[in-house]
Amino acid sequence: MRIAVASGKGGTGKTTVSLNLALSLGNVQLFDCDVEEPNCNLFLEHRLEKVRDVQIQVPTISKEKCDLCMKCVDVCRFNALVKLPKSIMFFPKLCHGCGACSIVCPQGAIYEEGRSIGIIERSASRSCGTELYQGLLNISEPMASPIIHALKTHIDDTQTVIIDSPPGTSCPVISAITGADYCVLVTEPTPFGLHDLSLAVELVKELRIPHGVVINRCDVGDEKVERYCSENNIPVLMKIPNEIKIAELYSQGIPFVLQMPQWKERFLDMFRQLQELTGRC
Amino acid sequence: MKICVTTKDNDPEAGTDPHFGRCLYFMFVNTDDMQYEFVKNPYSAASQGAGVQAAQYVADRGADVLICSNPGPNAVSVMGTAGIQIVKYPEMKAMEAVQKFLGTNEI
Repeated sequence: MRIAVASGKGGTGKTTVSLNLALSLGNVQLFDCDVEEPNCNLFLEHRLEKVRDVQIQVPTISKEKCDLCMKCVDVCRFNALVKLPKSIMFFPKLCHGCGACSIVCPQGAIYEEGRSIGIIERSASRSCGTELYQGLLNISEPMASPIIHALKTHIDDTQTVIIDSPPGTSCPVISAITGADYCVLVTEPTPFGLHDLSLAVELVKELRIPHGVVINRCDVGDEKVERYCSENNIPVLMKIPNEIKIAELYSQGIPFVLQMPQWKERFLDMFRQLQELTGRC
Repeated sequence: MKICVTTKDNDPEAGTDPHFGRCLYFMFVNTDDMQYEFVKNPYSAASQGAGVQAAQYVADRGADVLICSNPGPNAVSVMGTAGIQIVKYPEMKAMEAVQKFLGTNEI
């Protein structure tokens, strides 16, 4: 089963839920898809090994063959190509690597070359129960999705897979949660939490992914998140209180199930709920 | 010579727009006769790459000088290749910026 953990708002506890669920279950694959700032390994402290570079294909234009017809400039949806009186200029960081320019070029003047935008790493040891994969987007690179797609090619569906998604509701989130059997949306009971939760709910509905909510720091804020969930028939899978012990462990980089065994049971209960809700094991 | 100024409205008294790719208007001034014309920036709401598209647009219209206080790096690189001089002035009235440029540069 593939379980994605997402949220509209950042900082609600996606990584907390992903890690504690992973460690409660043991023997899972955990994918840190927040490739702009992967943080699961701050808590796991696994020794990581590089799996590979991630590249996107970008155009190189032969000045000899190019007759400045502008077809490539017109076809580019991302404005990565600009025609000037004597040349075509290319902006690599605007390019999404779709390849349309090289297809439409009547002169055959465009060929593609790989450009590295980040790397994929995984736990070096296979005997630590949780097998972590993380993507790391190079600094100043704008496009996270190709890394996330590459990361997800390492999913082994014979295992339970937990996908720690980036925050928000934009392309990288869609890349991370697409194909999940269930999406756990982590929120906090505040007006911001509710607002961004409702955006995330619209997204998972659009993607037709079954979903439920975890309310973190459930005793701060107000009742509106719970009311929203009950009005929209969204199951509340778990509530995590705003407890000093949990916060202290977090600040020391310790997932709280490791020292609060009663919580391990609660995460296992949540997993059983997900199994029932999805009919998967 | 043709000067392009990024402006917030289609009026020579309007303020200069510090943004380049997403400015609202371009004012083109022909320094031979000081005739000016305004064109709405077609890329002010582009989803990405507004700067490079706007730069191509300004280059296509034959500008020699761009007056804009804060063009982005991609636009600057297009201007550089197209040989357009970039002049960074703080915000002021559009025509004042042109006068200031002409006053400090012998054309």
